[in-house]
Amino acid sequence: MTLISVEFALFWLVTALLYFVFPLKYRWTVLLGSSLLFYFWNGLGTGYFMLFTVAAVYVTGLLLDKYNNEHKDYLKSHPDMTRDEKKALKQKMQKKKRCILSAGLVVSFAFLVFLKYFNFLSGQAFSVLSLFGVKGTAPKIDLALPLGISFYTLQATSYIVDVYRGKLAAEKNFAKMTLFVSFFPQIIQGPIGRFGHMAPQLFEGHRFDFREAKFGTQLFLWGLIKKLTLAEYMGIIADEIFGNYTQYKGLIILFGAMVYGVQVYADFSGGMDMISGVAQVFGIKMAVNFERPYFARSVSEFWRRWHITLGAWMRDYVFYPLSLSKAFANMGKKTRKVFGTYIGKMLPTFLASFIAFFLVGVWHGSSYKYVVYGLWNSVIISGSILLEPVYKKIIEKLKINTECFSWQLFQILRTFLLVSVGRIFSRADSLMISFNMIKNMFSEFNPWVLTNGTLYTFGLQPRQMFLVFLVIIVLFVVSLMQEKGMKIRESLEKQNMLFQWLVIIGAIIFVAIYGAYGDQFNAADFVYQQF
Amino acid sequence: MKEKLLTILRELRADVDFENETALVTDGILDSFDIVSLVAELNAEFDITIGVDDLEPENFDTVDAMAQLIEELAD
Amino acid sequence: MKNKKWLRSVAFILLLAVAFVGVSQCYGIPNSYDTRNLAAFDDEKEGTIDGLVFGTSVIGYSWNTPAAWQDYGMAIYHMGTSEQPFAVIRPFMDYALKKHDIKYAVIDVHGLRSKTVISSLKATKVRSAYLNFPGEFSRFKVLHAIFDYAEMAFEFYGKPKDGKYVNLNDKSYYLPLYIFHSRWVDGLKKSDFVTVENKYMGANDRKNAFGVMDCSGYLNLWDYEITGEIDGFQRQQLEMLFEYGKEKNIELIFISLPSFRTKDEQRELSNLIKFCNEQGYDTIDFADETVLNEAGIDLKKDFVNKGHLNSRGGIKSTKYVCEFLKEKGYYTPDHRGEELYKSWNKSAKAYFNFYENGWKNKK
Repeated sequence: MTLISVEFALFWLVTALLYFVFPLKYRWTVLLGSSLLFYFWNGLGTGYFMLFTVAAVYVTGLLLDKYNNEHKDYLKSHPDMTRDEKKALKQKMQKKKRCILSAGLVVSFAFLVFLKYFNFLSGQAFSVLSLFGVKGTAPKIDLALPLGISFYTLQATSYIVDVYRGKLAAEKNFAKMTLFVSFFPQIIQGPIGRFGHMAPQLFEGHRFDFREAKFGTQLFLWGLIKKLTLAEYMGIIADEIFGNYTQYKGLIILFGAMVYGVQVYADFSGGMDMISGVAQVFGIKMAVNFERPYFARSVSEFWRRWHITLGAWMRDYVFYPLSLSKAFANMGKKTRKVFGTYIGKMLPTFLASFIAFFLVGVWHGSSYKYVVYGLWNSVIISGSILLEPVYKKIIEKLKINTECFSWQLFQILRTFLLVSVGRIFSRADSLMISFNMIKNMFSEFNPWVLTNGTLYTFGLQPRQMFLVFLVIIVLFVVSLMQEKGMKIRESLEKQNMLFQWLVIIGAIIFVAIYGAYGDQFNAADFVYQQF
Repeated sequence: MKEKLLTILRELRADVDFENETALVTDGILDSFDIVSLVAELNAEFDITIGVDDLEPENFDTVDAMAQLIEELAD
Repeated sequence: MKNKKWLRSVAFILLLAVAFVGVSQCYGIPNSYDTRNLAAFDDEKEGTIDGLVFGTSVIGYSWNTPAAWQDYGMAIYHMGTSEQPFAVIRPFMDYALKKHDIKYAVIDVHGLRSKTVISSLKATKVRSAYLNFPGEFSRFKVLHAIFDYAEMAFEFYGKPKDGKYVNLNDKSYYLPLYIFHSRWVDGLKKSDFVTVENKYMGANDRKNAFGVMDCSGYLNLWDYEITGEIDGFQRQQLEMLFEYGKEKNIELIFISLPSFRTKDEQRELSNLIKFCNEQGYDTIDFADETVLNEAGIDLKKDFVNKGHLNSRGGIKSTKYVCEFLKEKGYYTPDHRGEELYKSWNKSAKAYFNFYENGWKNKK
C-alpha cells in the first residue's frame, strides 16, 4: 500500500472516520493502530526492527530522565551552591547520562548500520583482505531493509538526545512512544520529526475542522500533481540518460542531471505535500521539509531549503556538537597558528561540516558515490566561504552590481548548476560511472541537441514533453507566489465558490488524465522511499 | 555589554542590520557557520561556555535574546 | 459542522462525480467497426427485436443485418464483437430481454474453439466486449461473467505466460480511466466525444469490405471425420447455454460461418456443431461443400481473407441463414413497412447505397 493507491485513500478515509468518532482523549490510539497496521502491512516481517528501536529509545529516555530529575532535585534541595559546585555537579551528571545516551545511540544505530551497510562493508573488507592473499567470499546478509529505517532511526534518536540535553521530559507511555516513531504518513520518507514538535500534536485529540481537512486534501492533491504529472515523466528521461550513459555526451548529460534534479524535487517534495496533507486532516502539522530549494542563491542556502529536516538533524546532532566540542576548539587554536586567523578559525568548522555532509551522503546509501555526493556539497560550501574575500575583490574590480535581479538570477542558476552536477554522483549507477559521465559532459559541445529533436528521443512524446513543460511553469509560478509570501490555499479560499470548485475539480481531472499511472506506468515508488 | 556584542556581530556579518532583525536564525539570516563562529567569539569574549543545548533559535533570533543568554550563562 | 457545509460538500462531490463520469466516457475504449452495434443497442425502440446473433469477427463479416431486413423483414440484432468471449452471450441476452421479446438467438461457435477461448481472454478483447456494452449498470455483470469464464478456461487450458491476458485481480476493469487515460498522448478524436451511431446496424463496412481473395484452393482441408466429440470445457459452456435458453424460453441455433482455418481448427468447429445438433438443436455448418453451394458462395470471389467473407459473401451467408430460419419455422414475421421500424429502412438503404458504390468504385 503506497501513498498512491486506492487502498491508501480508503485507509486514510477509514482512519479519519475512526479518529473523529473516538472520544477526544483516545483519538491518538486510532493513529497508533493505523500506523502499526500500515507499517506491518507494508513492511511484513521487518516491523519488529522498528518496535525494537522504539523500545531502545523508550528505555534510554526513561533512564536519562531519571538523572535529569535527580539533577534538578539536587539543585532544588541545595539552593546555595556556588557556581563551581553547580558546574561540578553538572559534569558528574553528564558523565552518567553520556554513558546511557551512548548505549542508546549504539543500539538504535546498530540496526541501521548493520542492515544498510553490512554487505558493503564486508565486501570492502574482503577486497582489502584479498590484497593480502586472503581468499574467500564476503559474508552477506539477505534481509530486506525495514521500511523507512533511515528516517525513523534519525527521528527516534533525536528524541533521546533531546532528553539528554534536558529539553524534553521522557515519554512514560510506551504506546505513545511507538506512535511518535511510527506515525503512518511520515514513516516511509519523513519528514524527520522532533518529539517536542510532534508529540503534543499527536497525543492531543483534535476536533474535526472542515478547513484543515479541506486544506489537507488540497495539499495532498498538489503533491499528487507534482508526483504523477511531473516526477514520473522526468524520471523516464533521467532513467534513459543515466541508464545508457555511454551513448550520451556533452549537454545531454547536463540536461539529464537537471531533469533528474527536477524529478527528485517533484518526487520528494510532492511526497512531503501528500504526507503533510494526510496529517493535516487530523489537525497535525508536519515539519516543513522543503522551501523552494531551487530559488537558493548558494549551495549552503540550498541545503537550508532542501530536505530541511535532515539538514537540521545533522546540524543539531552532528555539526553543532562537533564544532562546539573541546577537541575542535583546541584544534582551532592550533590551526590558527599554522594557517593564520581567517582560515585557521574556520578549519574546525569545515571539518565538522565535512563530517556532517559525509553522513548525509552515506545516509543515502552504502556506496562510494554517495560519499562523494556528500563531499561535493561540503567542498563547495566550504570553498565558497574560503574564497569569499577573493570573490569580493573580483566583484569590486569588475564593478558588478550585486543588488539587482540579474545578479540574483545568476546566483540562482549557478547554484542549480552546481547542485545538478552533484546529483550525477547520487544518480549514476556507480562512482566510476559518474566520473565518466562528468568527463563526457565536457567532451563535446553540442548545443544543437536542444533544437534538433534529440530531446524527444528520451522516451517522452511531444505531447508529454509539452505537459511536463506546462507543469514546470505552473510549479514555478506557484513557487514564486509562495516565495513572495502568498498562501495559495488561503487565497483560493477567498475566491468565489464556483471558481474554487472549478480549480479543485480541474486539478483532480488533470491528474486523472495526465498522471503517469496505470498500465504503462508503475507510479508506486518514491525515490526517497529507498533511502 | 550589548555594545560589545553588537561589535562582534557587525564584524561577523557587516551586511546585517542586527538591531532591527527579530528572526536572525528563524529566517536564515545567520546560518550554522555564522552561529558556530559567533559562539566561539562570544565564549572567548565573555568567558562563558555556550553549550549545544543553548543553540536554540529563540536564543539567537535577536540581539536582546543573545544578551540575555550571555547574562544567564555568566552568572 | 454547519448544515450548509454538508450541503456544499455533497454538491461538490456530485459535481466532481459528474465531471469524472464525463471524462471517463471520453477516455473509454475507442469505438471500432465491431463494437458500434453493441454500443448503440439502446437506440432500438422497445419490443422491436425478435432475434439476436452472437459471435466473433466471423459474424462481423458474415452476418449482414440490412440484408436480412431488406429481403425478409427480419428484425435480428447483431451483437457480435471481434474475438467475443463466449461468456458474454448470457448477460447480453439478459439485457436484451429487458426491452425486447427475444425469441431466438443465432450463435456462431468460432468463439468456442479452444484457441479462440484463450485469445478472446486478452485484456483488450475483454475490455472491448464489456466496455461497449450498453447498460451502464449491467456492465459489471458482463465483466463478472467473463471473469468466471476466464477462471474456468485458464484452469482447463492453462493461462499463457505473457501479460496480455485478463487479470482477475485487476481493479482497473471497474475504473476504465485507469487504463485509458493515457490515450491523451495520441489525442482524442470527435468519435470520443459524441455517442456512436449504428448507421449500418453492424453490417460490414470495414476498409476491406470490398476486398477479394481466391480461396478455392483451401477446400481440401475439409476431409476429416466429424465425430461430435468436444472437450470438457466446451461441453460445460454449451450445456450452460442450453440450460439458459430453456429457462428463458429462447431458442438457440448454432452455426459455423464460412472460414478456412487449419484442418484441426476446422474439425473442432464441425465437432462443436455436430455436438449441438446431437443435443437436438438446429445447426448450420458452412464447412460443407453442399452448404456453400446452396448458399451460392463463390470461393474465388466471396472471401476477403482465409478467415472471413467479404461484404458480397456476407450477404449470401446471411440470406442462407434467413432461409433456414424461415424454413425451420422460427418466429420471423416480416416487419417491413411497420412504423416502428422506420430507422431500419433508413439504415438498410444507406448500407446498400454504400455497398453498391463500394463495388462500383472497385471496378
